[in-house]
Amino acid sequence: MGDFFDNWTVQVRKGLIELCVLNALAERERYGYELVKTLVDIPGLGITEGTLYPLLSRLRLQGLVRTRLEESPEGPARKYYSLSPEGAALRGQMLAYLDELNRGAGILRKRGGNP
Amino acid sequence: MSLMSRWTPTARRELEAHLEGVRRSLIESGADPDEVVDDLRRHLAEEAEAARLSVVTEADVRRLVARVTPPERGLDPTGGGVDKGVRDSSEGRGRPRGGAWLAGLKMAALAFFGVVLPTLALAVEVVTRSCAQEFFDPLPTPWHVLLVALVPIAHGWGLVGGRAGSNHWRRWCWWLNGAAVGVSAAYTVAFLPLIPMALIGVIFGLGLLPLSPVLSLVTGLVLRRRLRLAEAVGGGLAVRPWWVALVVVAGAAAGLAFPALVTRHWARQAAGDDLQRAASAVRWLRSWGDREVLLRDCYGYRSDLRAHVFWGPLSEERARQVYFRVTGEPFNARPAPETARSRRNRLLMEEFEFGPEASDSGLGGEAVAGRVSGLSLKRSRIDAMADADALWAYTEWTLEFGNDHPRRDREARAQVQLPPGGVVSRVTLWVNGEEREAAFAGRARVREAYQKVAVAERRDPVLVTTCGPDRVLVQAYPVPSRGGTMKIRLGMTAPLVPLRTNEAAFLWPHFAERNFSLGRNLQHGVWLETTNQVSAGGGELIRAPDGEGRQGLHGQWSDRQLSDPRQAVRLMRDPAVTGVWAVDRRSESGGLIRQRLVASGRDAPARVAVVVDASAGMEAGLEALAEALEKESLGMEIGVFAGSDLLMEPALGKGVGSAAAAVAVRDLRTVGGQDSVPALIEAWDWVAEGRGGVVLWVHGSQPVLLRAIDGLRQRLEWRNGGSAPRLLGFQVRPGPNRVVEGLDGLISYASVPRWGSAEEGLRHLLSAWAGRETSWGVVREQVADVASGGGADRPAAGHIARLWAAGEAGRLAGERQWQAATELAARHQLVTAASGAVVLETQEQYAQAGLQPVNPATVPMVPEPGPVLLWAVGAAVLGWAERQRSRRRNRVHGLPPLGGPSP
Repeated sequence: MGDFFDNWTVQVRKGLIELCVLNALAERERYGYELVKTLVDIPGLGITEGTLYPLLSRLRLQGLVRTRLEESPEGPARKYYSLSPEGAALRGQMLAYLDELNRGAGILRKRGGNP
Repeated sequence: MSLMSRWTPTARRELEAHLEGVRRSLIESGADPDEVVDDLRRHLAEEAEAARLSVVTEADVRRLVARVTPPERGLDPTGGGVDKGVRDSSEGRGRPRGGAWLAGLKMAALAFFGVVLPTLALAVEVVTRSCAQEFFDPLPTPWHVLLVALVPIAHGWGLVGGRAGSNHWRRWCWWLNGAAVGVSAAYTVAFLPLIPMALIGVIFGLGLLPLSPVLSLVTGLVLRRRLRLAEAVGGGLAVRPWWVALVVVAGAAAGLAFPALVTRHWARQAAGDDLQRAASAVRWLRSWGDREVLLRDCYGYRSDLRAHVFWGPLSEERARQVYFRVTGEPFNARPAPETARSRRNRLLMEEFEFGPEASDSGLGGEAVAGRVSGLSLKRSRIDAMADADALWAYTEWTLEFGNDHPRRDREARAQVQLPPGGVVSRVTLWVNGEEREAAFAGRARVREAYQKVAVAERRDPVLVTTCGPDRVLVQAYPVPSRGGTMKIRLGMTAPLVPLRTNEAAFLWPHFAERNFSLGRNLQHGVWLETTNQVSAGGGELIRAPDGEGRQGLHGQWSDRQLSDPRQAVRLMRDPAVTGVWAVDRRSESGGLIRQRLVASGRDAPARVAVVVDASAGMEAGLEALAEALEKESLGMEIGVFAGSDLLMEPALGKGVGSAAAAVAVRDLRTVGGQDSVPALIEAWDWVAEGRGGVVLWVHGSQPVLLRAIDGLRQRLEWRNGGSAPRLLGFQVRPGPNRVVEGLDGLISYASVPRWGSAEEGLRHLLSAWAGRETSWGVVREQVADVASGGGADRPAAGHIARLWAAGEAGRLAGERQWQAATELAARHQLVTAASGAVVLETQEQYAQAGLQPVNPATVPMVPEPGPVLLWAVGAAVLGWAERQRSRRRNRVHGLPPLGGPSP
């Protein structure tokens, strides 16, 4: 029972990570450290830096995010991430799909009654 | 690498090696390995900045990397659904195997020095108090224990919780770490003088415990660094409470230590020879001193090492003087402090013979000294009988001591206050359920026998010697450990106090000082048997007449009640009986002792010096004296002198009237413990200017001599009797008084009997001096010619002879005829200034000591023979005497003795 739930949460989180990244960047441009800290602090997502940076790299290679470097007076140069138009479009599709899925799941949930 | 933090070369190598491992693991992940490596490098740099690491070491890199790079389970960065984390890949790149081992060793070291060692040090100190005994007390209060206990808890929390990601969790880590570092820093400072010794001790396998504070401090700082790193990795905290906790806890530790430190500083100043500084220090101690610290010094706990270093040592004797000056109380009125110890721990400590109260420095000595643990009075019974017509009383006090100490046999010591003029006339010890009576001999001889048997042979002796006028020191040894008991009995013969021709007062003996505690709910079972009617007093005692003319008064009293003069019993007496006689069977010359009741207070003193002890607790006594002076206006010159602080002049007024004297007494402020000796000397000198003066000393307890009393004693020795100044002591509060003890054997000193409230007693005395009331006394004399009989006087019990002998021995001692005084007292089986009593266990011990125990048939007992029997005995004695006289007369005239055979 416990293992099943654990595996299920992993699958849910895995499916949502990219959407969370796109959502975080949809609000505004963020530099890497800030973006990572924002996502790390999302309750239940349970993501770490070791997972996020390869993911961001893949999203950039797929053209979903864009990056730029900017010198910082407080330390090393900062790498800023922003959403590309493709990323924004994909985000819209993903959200629509998720909403649809949630609605369907919600109907079943109402029929079954709240636990 | 454009970092603000400075990275050590090894840190850079460690980082690059790690990133290389990451790069290799990402080759088939779909991500750009170089980009990810750059991102991670940038991220780690920012983490180091956020952690405010000015220098980033190899260890820092490992912690940062360990925190940052492990991927979540199942959240594969490659998107392939395989758990293939970067940590695994870093391990795969051939990281030195010794790193894990070294990290484990470091962790173990932190756990040992930060958790195990401080826990061990705390436990050892709480149980054994070894540091408190040898150097200084690091745990004087339970608060100190809590503070120290915080250190291993905080370090343990830091080791476990410092790696957790929760801000809430880490906030607690910061608080605790700051507190632990604060406590460790405070104790490191406290233990600084011990560190060199401890380092030497480490070489020999010892000394790690004294180093515990400094090692804890180092551990705390290491853990702080780890926390900073953890904070940087897990996200910055809005509040960093470390400094707050440090300052608060270090302040608390300093605040707890401060009173003890300043107390010890002032105590040494108070014990010094600089009077100005000593007086000032005593005043500071009264206001701000820690009495518990003073008491610990009195009981021989080793003083604070720092105090030794800075201000020098303080002996127990000096500490006890200071304690009295500050508090006005004897130190042994309270048991040794048991700071931060449970009873179980205390007993464990004593089992291993730690702690000053485990030993008894007063064993076999001539002082009661401090309370000893385990020893208590289990049972107490006082049986007395009084003859108010003949003005005598005989009291037997049976005491049973118990000792709960697990190992040590104990000596019970007590100073017993007798009724004025009283004398110990019987001492009994129970050995295996049988009563053994005492041997009476010279004081030095009985003490020598006691010490030999008690200290050397550890057998059962009891010793009773005087320790001042109307005071005896009782010593009984050994009271066996582990619940053993010892039972003794003191028989005391004392005169009743004639108040009027038709009334006399019976006074109870009581403890003035003791080295044992009183058993739980201990009550003294008291019984007074008399043929006289009770007129007043006796508190709530129950009356039990026997229907044949005897009155019994009995009840249960607390120790406080027993020492309350208001519990004196006033008995009606036949005013027609002004004289009694008793056969003196023990004098070499034989004969009778006659006792007459005489008016003694008609000669008013020409000058009265009132010496007032202004110690704390004397308020009621001073008020009583002021009231008495006001109401019983005296016509003579009065001087008022006060036993007061070091620098104050004793004389408050000379040659004043009663009203002015009352005002002066009322204006006195009582504080601390005062020395009466300077005031007594000055008062005596003032009174001695004229003739027939009296020094009335109204005092409480003075458990230590603050200066020598030789000057006072010299005056009283040179001028005694006749019109020389008399010194009268009126004790308001019970307790030991070393000044009074020092006046033992002087006939020019007498204590005023207390048989009611202080005001009542003082008014009675002053009223007699003013000529408004007659005070009564008794005169006893030896009549050598037995055949002359007692005349019209009635016969009385042999106690009259004992009281005469006690007085005569006192007179001889006062004239320094010690040999004669000792022989007289020993013959009459009395404990006087010249003689003592000792009970030994076996006849062999008596023989070895050259002593002979008294014949049990000759000791006084309760009840004594009744009056009818006394008449019969008296008549028989007189008949025998007449017969002897007749024989002598007939021999002279050549006639045959009456009833004898004819020649």
